Amino acid sequence: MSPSSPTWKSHALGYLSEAFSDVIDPQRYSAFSTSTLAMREAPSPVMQALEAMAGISTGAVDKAREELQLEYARLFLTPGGLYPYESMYLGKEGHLMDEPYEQVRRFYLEQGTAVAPGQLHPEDHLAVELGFLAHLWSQDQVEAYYRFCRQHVLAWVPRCMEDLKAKTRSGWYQALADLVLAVLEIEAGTLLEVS
Amino acid sequence: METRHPGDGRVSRRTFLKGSAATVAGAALPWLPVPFVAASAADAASNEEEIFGFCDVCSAACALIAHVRNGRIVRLSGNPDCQVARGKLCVKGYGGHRFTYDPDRLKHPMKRTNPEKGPGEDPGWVKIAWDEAYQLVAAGFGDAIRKHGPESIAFFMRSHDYADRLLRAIGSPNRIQHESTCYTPREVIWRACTGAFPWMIDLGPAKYILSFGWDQPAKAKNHQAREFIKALENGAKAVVVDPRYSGTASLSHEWIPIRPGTDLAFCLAMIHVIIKEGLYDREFVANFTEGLDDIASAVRQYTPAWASAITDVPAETITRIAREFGTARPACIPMHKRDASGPNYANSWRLAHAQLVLCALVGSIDRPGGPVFQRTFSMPSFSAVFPVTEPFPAVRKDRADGLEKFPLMASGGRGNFATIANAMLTGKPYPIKAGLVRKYNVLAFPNAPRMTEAFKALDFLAVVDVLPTEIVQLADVVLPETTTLESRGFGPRSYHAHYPQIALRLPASKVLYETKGFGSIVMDIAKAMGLGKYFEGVSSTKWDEARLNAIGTTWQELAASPNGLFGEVRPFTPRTKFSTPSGKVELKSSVLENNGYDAVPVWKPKREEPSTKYPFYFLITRPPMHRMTTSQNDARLIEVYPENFLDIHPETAAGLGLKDGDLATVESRAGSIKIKVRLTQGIRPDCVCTDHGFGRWARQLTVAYRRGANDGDLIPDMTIEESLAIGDPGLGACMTDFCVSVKKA
Repeated sequence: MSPSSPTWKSHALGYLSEAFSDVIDPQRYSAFSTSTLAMREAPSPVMQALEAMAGISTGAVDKAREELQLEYARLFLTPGGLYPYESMYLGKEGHLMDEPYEQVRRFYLEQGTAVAPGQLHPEDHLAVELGFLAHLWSQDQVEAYYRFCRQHVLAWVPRCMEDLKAKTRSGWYQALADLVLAVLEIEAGTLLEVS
Repeated sequence: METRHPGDGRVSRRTFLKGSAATVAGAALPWLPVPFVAASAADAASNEEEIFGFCDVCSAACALIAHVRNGRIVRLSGNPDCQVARGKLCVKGYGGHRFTYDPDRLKHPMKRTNPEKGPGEDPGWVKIAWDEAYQLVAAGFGDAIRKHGPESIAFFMRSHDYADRLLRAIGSPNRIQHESTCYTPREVIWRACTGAFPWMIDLGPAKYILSFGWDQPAKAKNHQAREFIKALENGAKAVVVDPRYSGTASLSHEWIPIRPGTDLAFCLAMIHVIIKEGLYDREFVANFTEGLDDIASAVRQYTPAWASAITDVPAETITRIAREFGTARPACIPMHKRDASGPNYANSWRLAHAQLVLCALVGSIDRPGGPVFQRTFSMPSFSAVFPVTEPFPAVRKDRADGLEKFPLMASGGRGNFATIANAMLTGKPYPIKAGLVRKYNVLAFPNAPRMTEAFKALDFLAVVDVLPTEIVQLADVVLPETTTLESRGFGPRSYHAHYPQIALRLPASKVLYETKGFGSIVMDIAKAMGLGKYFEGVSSTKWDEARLNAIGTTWQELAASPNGLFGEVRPFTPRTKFSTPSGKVELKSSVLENNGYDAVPVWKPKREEPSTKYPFYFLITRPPMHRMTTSQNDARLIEVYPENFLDIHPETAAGLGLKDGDLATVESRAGSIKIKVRLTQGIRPDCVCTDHGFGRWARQLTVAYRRGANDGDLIPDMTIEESLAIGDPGLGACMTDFCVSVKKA
């Protein structure tokens, strides 16, 4: 659990937070999937997922943009798609802003931080939690990083990604979900080793 | 990335990253993760708060307290100092935060990519920026205006100062409201005979409560349930006249299962008995009413024996009830919206008149224990606070729904839900080509499938809403609105206001997603249409301040109120002057007479009676857990009341070969539905009944989808001529004045 070595982690988590916060920009997706230099120290399952992303992101950008707009709305804006909120996976009420929201927000506060004003997603949204991991890792807050992984991200994001893979019609999101799963599997393994 | 929103405190993440030294995670990366900043003292301190607000489940607007912990509303409670709430909310009100937090909420503006519309069609939504949404609305409306004139645009919504001004600026007369399906036949009578409409029923002090289909305690109307129980505890007698054994009937001393649509005959015979036997309040009648002799003359023929043959109620029962009602003081006929004198039958307005006469005869109008005119503050109008600097364009007088043909309803500008589908589909009297809908559901219109076709036929439809309801599925552009708990403002106490009192509302939740308040949406549409000049200087803060100043306070003072309320308790002073031509309660109405309507209540039957083809009366009610078409996506409420049923008497069911839980086909001359049967002894054998609010076809309502059936699919809509032929000055939509057949599906 070296705090500073794998910069690939900040790189990957930073992009994943961006990718899940809005409609995917195919050019930026392509740029990330080919950023092998920044990711060179990533373990092989992560690199394999990255290669799979690179395989998806070729082709006509305009057509991809249109497809991704529709897929984003279908998956994240229209009910019956995916609800990428911790409250929806770990809450008891079946609505947003449930108890997990409060726990996540409190976790942020305990680290002396908060989501920047003006953000559109609640604190327990997938993109926000991944952004928080990126933030912690880049701040060398390793203990908090793994604690947040254990208490929150690993408790629901893998299931959310499996749901994403089951619901999406797009290879872009399939590959993205595989990358998230690959990263989290490594973190789960690390936590297992430590315990 | 996210759109910039001037004035609402939101910035794009790209802009934020450029400008913020506090951002850490993203600064060294080429990516734009959700940014984090150092927590402020306010973030850390705001652990537990109580925020004042008021409910919007119904217009009673119970003042509430939102209990907020770590940034989320954990529960709502009633404000103990609010004269409506008295510390409690109804089952729907308690779940208000679940509406705000509904995961199916509309989160961003969207446009459809699939031109095909209707049940089963995926709109193919894509997210768009607010600016693009406004441009699309402006283009859609502009196109309609150029090709068909400004009157081809219709707004479907409750009256709203900003939207009303926009419609006037556009130059269309067509704002279509729902009240013709809700209460206008009664309202028009009370306004004609007393000059006002008593939203408040002061049940608490009543000694005799005679209800004709009124079932508010069982519909969880907070204050009416409380006052009803209080009256019972004080020894009041309660009698329910209703074809079905309602929840209120189950709490009452007596249930009289009357034939549907004949309550008028019952009331006329009661008036007959009370006048004939001299049981009326002579002092009240002499001092505060006019027209007793005309009424006496009109009801001379309406004996209990005559009424018995019409109502299926024994003459002795009618006589006894009349005597009890005429001698108990105070005696009250509670009324609220869709009871027997709501817009259910062609004769409902006449029933409302007869009920008004009965209340006057026992001296309970605007007296403790009777129908009371709510005491509210007088506030300046929108136009007085924000006068326009340029005149509005001329507007043609004739409306698409024919409202101008109803002289007692025309001035309010509200429309007719029952006639608009025909106008839209036939283009008569002129075409309607574009629409703006705010939080109305197509399922709530008479003949909902036909109204769906009417909305589909529009060239352009924009919808402002919170959830992806059926009307949203028909939209070209969707504009997501904030919920009450995310907004600020203040509101009067109206359904239960002994004295003027307003309630404060502060945001209990931050504004979620990219939603906006409706006033802001309207002004931005106006700007996009080049009509911003009609809104120069308009702002919600100025609007609030001007109205509060007029009643002797300020926003700052109200916001600092220790109980979130403003308005001193004042003693109740009964009204002695009424806003009628004579200054009295006009039992014989000069207003009705001068406008060509019967000036006194006389017997006329309802529009339709059972036939061989349609042998059953059809009744509609609402369960206590649900509010119209807005609550069926709440998982908690659905758990308690998951779908609607067709309530039917066991003997009737046996004759049709139906068992409890069987699926039945119910058919009217307008359409048919399939619905599960529920056997109950609590309904007349010649009636069937169901709940409103179900039969949802919007797949995107993940909880409500495909539960039960929509009563509105059976309700016939009308042409303007048919509506006129009914002769109701309140243009009632005859929501249950039709019959149905029932058979096993």
